[in-house]
Amino acid sequence: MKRKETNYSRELNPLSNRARFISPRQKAVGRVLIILGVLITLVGLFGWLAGDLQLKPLQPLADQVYRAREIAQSAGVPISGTLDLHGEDSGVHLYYAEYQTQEQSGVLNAEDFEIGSGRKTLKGEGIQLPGTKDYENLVVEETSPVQLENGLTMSRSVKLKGAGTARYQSLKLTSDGAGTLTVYASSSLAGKDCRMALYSVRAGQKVAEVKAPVMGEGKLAPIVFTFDKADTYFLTTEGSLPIAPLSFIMNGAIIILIIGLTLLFNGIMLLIQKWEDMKDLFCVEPALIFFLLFVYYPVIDMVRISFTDMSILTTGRQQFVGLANYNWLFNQSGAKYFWESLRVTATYMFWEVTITLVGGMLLALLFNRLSRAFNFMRAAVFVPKYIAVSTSAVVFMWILYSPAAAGASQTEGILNYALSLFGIQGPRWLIDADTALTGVLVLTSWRVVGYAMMIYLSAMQGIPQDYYEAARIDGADGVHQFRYITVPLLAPTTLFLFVTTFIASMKVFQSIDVMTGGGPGRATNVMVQWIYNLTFKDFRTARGAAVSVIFFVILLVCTVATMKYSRKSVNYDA
Amino acid sequence: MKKFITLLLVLALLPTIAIGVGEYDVTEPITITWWHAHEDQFSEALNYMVDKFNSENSMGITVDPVYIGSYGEINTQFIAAAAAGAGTVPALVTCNTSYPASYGAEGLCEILDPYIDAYDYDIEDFGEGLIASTSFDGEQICLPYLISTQVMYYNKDMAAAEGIEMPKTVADMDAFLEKATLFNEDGTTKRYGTVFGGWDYWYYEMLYKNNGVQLVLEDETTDINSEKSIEITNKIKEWIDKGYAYYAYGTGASGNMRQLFWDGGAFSVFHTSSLYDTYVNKVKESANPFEVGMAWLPGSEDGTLFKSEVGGSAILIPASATQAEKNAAWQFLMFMTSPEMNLYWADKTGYFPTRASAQGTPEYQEYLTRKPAMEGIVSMSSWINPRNQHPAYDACANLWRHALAKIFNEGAPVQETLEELAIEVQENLDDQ
Repeated sequence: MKRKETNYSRELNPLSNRARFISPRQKAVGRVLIILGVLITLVGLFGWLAGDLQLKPLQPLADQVYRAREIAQSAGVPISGTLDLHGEDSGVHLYYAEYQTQEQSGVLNAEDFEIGSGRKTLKGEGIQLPGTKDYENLVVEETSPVQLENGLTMSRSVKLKGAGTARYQSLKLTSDGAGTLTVYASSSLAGKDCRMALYSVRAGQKVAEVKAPVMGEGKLAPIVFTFDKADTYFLTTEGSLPIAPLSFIMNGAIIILIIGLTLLFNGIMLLIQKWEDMKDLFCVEPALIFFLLFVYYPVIDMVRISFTDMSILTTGRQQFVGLANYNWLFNQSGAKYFWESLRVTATYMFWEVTITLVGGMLLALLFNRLSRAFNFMRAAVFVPKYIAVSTSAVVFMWILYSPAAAGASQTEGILNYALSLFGIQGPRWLIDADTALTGVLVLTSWRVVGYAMMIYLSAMQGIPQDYYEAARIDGADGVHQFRYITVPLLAPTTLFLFVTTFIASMKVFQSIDVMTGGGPGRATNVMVQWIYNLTFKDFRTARGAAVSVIFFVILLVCTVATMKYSRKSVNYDA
Repeated sequence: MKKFITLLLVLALLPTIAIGVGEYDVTEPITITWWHAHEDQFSEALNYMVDKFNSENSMGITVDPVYIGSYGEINTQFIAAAAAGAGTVPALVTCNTSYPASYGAEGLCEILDPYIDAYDYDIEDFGEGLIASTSFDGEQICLPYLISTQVMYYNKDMAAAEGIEMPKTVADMDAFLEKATLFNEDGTTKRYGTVFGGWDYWYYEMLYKNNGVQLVLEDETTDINSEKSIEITNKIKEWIDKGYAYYAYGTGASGNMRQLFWDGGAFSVFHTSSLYDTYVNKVKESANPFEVGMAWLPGSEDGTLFKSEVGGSAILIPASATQAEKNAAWQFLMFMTSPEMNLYWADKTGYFPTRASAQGTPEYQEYLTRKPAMEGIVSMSSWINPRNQHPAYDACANLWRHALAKIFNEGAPVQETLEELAIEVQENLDDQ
């Protein structure tokens, strides 16, 4: 059927170099999507640079958003038009505070506190600033001394922040009755709405609120808060910064970025592809987006994390540390653990690959020659692959059980019992460092060999019998047939099994975690187990990421090298 | 007893009504999730407590308990959820008493002091040691919930029949083990004098600490390679080599050790007081039932120090939960740590009553008649101390555990192994 060309413009598709017919409406939609895509991509990019990548010029803004988010979250209020006025250049600086009731009095003087990082609770007399999370530069050196009306000259201050009764760096006062709290504080946020408020904990109400004086305007006057009963009070800062949209952008940066890129891509494709081809593209895109979001982004983010000091306990406050984690891994205390773990992993991998290939092929040879009566046995050998690793690991712990103490009169596991029938004293499989990995490999062998057998078996049955007949006529015996026909023609299968087993064995975790937990000592501490321990037990997420990156590179190089080698050596003709 | 408990709970909640709506009050019905690590054997007590709270609280709070797994698994899940941010954390998390220090250092826990102030919650009732165990830097970050400590379980019938006395100090151990161990004709051990729980450093570290050995000193150094440490390690090795004892190490070691004890293969074991009920019940079911005794760990050689360390569960409110969730969680927290519930749990499990006010009640006396072995332990509970709160302690202590396994189970030389360990521990401490 001939196309109507009058309503369509003809354009060249640069991808296929074939003429395409694209409607004006499609072109218009394409252009709109491109504009939207660019805008949304830029917004996402901004969020990513400010949030995850912590681009230095955007850092003060990001700090504000993170802190506001933490406080709002803690106070249980939505992040909108709020609150946190704490930051390098925008916080309330507290110099001196004193309280007085009939029975008590106390002082908090910023000059008494040392400057530094780390967690702090700054305590005065009956009055304190509880430090919780973000303690860097809690006490700061003022650029110029500040004169107080009480005659003191202060060169240091404590940064104050908070919202409602949230206690992060809020000043806490426990009073035994009615009284007054006098503070000397100022805000560096000239022209911004910055207030200080006193909250009563028991009533959950604001007792008083005062606008914070602006920094650098002569002698600082006292701000006096009065309270009428015994209670715990918190002095916090309040103000307004429009951080809600920023918070959303930084939190969802990757999703926004991917949406933007998707729109941009679709817009471009609408301009260069006819509608029929677009339908195919739409079918593929959900999977592509899924992969981008859940596979490729985590890998990219893992690389980023490896350059930070991230701990899984402190994800929101990571700093870029350059190559420090890699330095630790290769030049400092991490190096010995790395090489040790790599050695254990390589040993495990070598044996799993060997057992899979050799054991699988031998079993396949056996079952390929036997009659149908052995179908059941074939299935029995194959089934372990489909039993959950954790379940089989627990069963093998019983099988391999041995008493911890030498010469103990405890019941042995089945394997050692079987060995004892032949007069052999079985080892303490999972307890001794020398045999623990072998113990795990016993389970591995049981699991993998049947699967390899099935793959080899199906490949063997695909080898034409003519080859064997011709070889027999030429006088080749069974060994020669195996050496010169079976093995070469199984090379692609061997390669497939080698690559998949190599990758799977390098990534072994579950069986080790259940059976030995990486022990005894570090005897079975394979790479993935080490990464897990670094991340979730030592809370060194960034170091875990650095090890993961190096491990990823090792796997990639080995796989690529294998594939390259195989192109030259493996015959796919069969 | 149920009526009495109900009455006390209502009275306990009255002050919250009297003071009106405050920052920490629950203002509307809410369902909160509680991640816990209590296995099947605790389900009856757990369900009783949750059902009671859900049906009796007048604020419309519904608690949904979710079993996550072991303490380690909860730790993994919790820190992953906390890293993911708001909306992913539950309102309450049970954790082992070894975790609060690292959580507190990173601000993962809601600080409970304002809630305690707002509700006049009697925190002092827990005693100094338990308050310190659940605080960080002077702030209450969780509450002691189900508390246990290290003890020695022993076969009381055998002890009476064979005239064996439990060791009061490390110096008594030689004589004790000699008497408590039985050998087969071929020289192999028939019955161990004791078993050291080597799958967790908590079970044996007091043997060292009470004798002055500290894995992590205040100045961030270690004396794990000190003369005293070598002496104690040599002593334990001697007991193991002689067949008097063994070091239960590796996955499954805990279960194997227990089985050995209730099968009569060990006279005594180092374990946690929280498993008292399990030991008693399992021994009852065994082929040769016997009475289970519970003794305090042997103190220092000179008999001057008998400290132990806190174990069991603490309960916390994640800082990243919403305020409404936190408020509801606090109500449940007050309920579950109330003296009555404290005693109820102690009665149903092997954890012991931790609130002083619970110990003064007639119910407590009645409880002691059913669990006489607990009396000695509870009476010494003032000797229970917080765990070392250094962030690297756990990692260093695990290195120690592995080194001892090499010494005791693989015959590694004591001094050299401890010297190597000291270097590795120091590396860890310097690396913080």
